[in-house]
Amino acid sequence: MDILEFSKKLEGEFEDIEKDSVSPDTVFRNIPGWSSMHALIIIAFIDLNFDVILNSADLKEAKTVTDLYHLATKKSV
Amino acid sequence: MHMSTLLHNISTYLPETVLTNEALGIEFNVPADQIFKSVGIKKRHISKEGELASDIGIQAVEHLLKARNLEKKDIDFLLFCSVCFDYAAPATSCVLQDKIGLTKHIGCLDLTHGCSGFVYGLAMAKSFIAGGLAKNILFITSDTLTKTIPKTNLELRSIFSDGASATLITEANYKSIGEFVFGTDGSGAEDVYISRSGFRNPADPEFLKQEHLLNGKFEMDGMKVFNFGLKIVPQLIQDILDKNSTTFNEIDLFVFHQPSRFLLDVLRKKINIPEDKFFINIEEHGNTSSTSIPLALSDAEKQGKLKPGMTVLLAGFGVGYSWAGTIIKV
Repeated sequence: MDILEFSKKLEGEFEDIEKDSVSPDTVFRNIPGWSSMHALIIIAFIDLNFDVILNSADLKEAKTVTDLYHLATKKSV
Repeated sequence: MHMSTLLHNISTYLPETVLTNEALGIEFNVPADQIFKSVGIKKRHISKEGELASDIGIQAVEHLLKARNLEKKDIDFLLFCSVCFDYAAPATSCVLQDKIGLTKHIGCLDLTHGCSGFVYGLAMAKSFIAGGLAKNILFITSDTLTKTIPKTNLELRSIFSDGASATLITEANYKSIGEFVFGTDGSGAEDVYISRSGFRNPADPEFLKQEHLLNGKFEMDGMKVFNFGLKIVPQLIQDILDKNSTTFNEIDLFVFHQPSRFLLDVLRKKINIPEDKFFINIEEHGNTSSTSIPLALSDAEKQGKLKPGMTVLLAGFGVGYSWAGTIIKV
């Protein structure tokens, strides 16, 4: 999965979000209506697609969707 | 023979008072559908003021005795699984021996587990019968976690619920309980726990008054508990299958503890369990701790999803951290 597909699929995981509002540069905590539930959605998405379980320290470290992608792909190698 | 199967020896009791999303929504000024979206729960059962886990446990037993036409004198061991005991001592099971009206010639034991508790109780009951310690074991699960949650905590109040179950494990049905897998990671003890509920940092009257609590405060790090579930449950399922020399396809129904709708959905996808083989009833009851699995078995039967002769995989996981699983023939 490349970064564009990652970004697109992650957007699909969030309900009530406008189309094309998530891109690789998106600061994911700024997604409208961000809540702790979104963090769990990200963790589940990355686990199901990369078999990698991010913890809260990993999430704190990440700012953008690209950062999440790097964490997922780096850890799954 | 039909009436002696494990499935036909389970009763549940849920307190009458129900907390809906609409009621929570009004209290917290949040749309009811938003609460449903975030937890996947429609309602929770709330024990009355002064109604303890032991009290609702008795109700579950009364249902079982009535439904099965059982003689109290035949019960020779009582197991009580809860995290909401009457006292630190004596064991609540001793109190229940008298209140239920069981004979004095019985053994009583309390078991302090939440989400893995039902599976633990089955394991103890099976081994007690196999070891010749008892013939007819009454096993109660009961929790009133809503009494440990501060009124101001929307997240926890929208998830947790009260309930009890009573199961009779006998010489006639214990062989339908398979082999067990257990796991423990006490390093996560304070990721989900009732703080200030024991001798370590006991609660003082001022703290309890401030939080409107009876004894201790439920606290949970949702992300850590979620990650714990993702990490251990897939391996737990594989270990249960291996220990029972059973293949994935031989399981007719997977019945897990019901911690949260979202975690259950993710686990189902991760383990590749077909939707029609994965039972979920958290929507109707919330998370009832140690009662979630017997309540799910009972609901699955009522809905026609569980029939005598089926092979069912049970998996409990949560507070401790503690996890346990087995396979039963219902």
